[in-house]
Amino acid sequence: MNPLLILNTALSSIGTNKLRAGLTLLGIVIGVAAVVSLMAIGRGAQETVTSRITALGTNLLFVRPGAATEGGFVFGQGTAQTLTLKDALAIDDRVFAPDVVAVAPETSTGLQIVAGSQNTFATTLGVTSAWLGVRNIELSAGRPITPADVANELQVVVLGWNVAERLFESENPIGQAVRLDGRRFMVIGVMERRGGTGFGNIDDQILVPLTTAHFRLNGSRTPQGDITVNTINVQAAGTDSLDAARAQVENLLRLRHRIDLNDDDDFTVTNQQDTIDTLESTTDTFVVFLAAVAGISLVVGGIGIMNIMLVSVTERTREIGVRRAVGAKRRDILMQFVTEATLLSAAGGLVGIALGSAVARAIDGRTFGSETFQTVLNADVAIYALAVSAAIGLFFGIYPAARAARLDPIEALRQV
Amino acid sequence: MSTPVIELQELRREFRMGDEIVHALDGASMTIEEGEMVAIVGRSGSGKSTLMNILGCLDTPTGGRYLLNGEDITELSDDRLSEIRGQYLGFVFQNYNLLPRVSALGNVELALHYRSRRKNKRALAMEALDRVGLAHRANHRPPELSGGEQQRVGIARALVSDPRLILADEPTGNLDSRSSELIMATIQSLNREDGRTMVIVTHDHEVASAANRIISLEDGRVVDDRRIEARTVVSPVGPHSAPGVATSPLSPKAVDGGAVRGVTTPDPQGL
Repeated sequence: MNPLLILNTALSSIGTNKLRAGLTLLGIVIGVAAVVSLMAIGRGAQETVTSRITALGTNLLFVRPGAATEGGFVFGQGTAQTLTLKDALAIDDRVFAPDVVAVAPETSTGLQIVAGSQNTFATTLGVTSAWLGVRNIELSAGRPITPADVANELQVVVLGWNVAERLFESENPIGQAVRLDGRRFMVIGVMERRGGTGFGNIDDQILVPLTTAHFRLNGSRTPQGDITVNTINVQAAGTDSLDAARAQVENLLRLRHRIDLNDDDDFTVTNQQDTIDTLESTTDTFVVFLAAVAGISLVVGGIGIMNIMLVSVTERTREIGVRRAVGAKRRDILMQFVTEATLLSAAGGLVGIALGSAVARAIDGRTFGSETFQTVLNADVAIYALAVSAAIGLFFGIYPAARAARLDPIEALRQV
Repeated sequence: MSTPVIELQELRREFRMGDEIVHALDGASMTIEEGEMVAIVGRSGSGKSTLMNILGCLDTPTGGRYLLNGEDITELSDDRLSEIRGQYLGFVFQNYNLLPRVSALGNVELALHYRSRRKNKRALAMEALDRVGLAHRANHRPPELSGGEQQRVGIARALVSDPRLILADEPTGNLDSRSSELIMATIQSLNREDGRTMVIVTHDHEVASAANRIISLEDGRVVDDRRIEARTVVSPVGPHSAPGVATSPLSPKAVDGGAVRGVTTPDPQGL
């Protein structure tokens, strides 16, 4: 029997009982719609995170010290006090590091900041004048930290948006005095609002001159007396020269830190791409988890199809008998029912994709002007969902179809 | 003469019922030639249903030989039996066995479904419906047809594949006498006008008398086999009665649609 005929038989059988076909579809529709919309939500979350990180600039390298060890304990990455201001100055070298455009070292410490009766906790970064440019951050008011501020260890501070709001509410903070670690600082600027949440959100941080942070707030030195820094931000000429810049920075630092050829670095160099990769692998797991949960409903839908097909075989016993009498082989009956189940399931898949896409589009934050919640629809998810639903129909259709094919035609025809 | 359509030699069929072995057919022999109209009669339990199933290639004998068109079907595979059914045989059932959700035309077409790649299946189905006088009801579904009409659709379905043999199992068993006569007239005209070989299983002697040969079964054996002068069935209606018979002024629609409708067996299955 040719495939077209099989398809035709199955289609006309489905067509003769549309309500039952519709109900059979429902399970698969819901399952596929769940997979598609949840995948869209997962992918959207992924995209949101990725775009936030990318917004920081993809031509940045972050140099951090390695892990400190003390008495056999290994502490976290970045805890060692091996990276110094001199390292930062050495990297900023157009001859030995031609692909480095700008270098911005920073120290970091958490401090209580007080203004009048208000106070808040802020991560205080000690930075140089290059920092805002390297991190691509604009000021919304006031002036940035200048080389003069750094040279003279002036007690000036640039506030993050949230910090300024918490301390001064609607007042203009520029020129106001704040207290950091008991010392009086003057607010000279406020950074633009970046939005976003979580650790390292620039809106919750404040900037002071690096020298001020070292000498007046919470400085630390290496045994050799050099000023240590927590991070050196390195701006490469472009995304293409990122790898070259990284190699140059690594070479210079290995030389300066007198690391033997076979020894491990006492620092790490990362870039945004690394962060994105890490986050993506995390969110991938999340997305797969969501899909797996939704997949369970697909299996339930498949069992629904099997159930209805079994009922259908019982109901259509006489039809099967007639078909056998007019020359249908067992194989023809088997194919008819398997095709029916597969078609039903695939049709459910198509409807589910449409429904899931509609849901994903409806709940996308951008529809009502919010950036925080996005959904992303991909063709591959739709194709997988369709293939999986067809496969489920095939799998769960085989048993009922085999029962139909095994029916004895005499018994089937005798059915009243 | 050419090859007989059916040749049975000492046909046996045993069923195991618990510890007991039931001999449904116990050495039945017969030969049916092309163009015959044979009635197989017998009380219930005489083995006529079993014989019908074997003749229809729905069952296989446990002993003896069954030659259909000279081909021994005794040892054939299920697939080959299916092919033979589709190719050489047409069935008319007591309970019509029509698909209730499919139109009359679709029901007839079903018999061509598993055969050849012929394109004009619809036209052939229409032709067969026309042969039984139901062309005007082609798009009606079985529940909208009277019992007599449903059985004529069943006959059209048996006919459409141009089989060498049509097997009818109590074709009038669910019908009143008026519809029965119409059905028998149709069957007789297929035999007399088109020369189709017909085998009818029945317990109704009125029906059997329309055949030109009556074979009586008892306890799985042929106890009587005689040729008779067939009664010419006078169709209560129309165009498909035997030649020379006066036609009733009533249209088939008026008779079938009116008086006979109540006989339709309800279909509790509802496909």
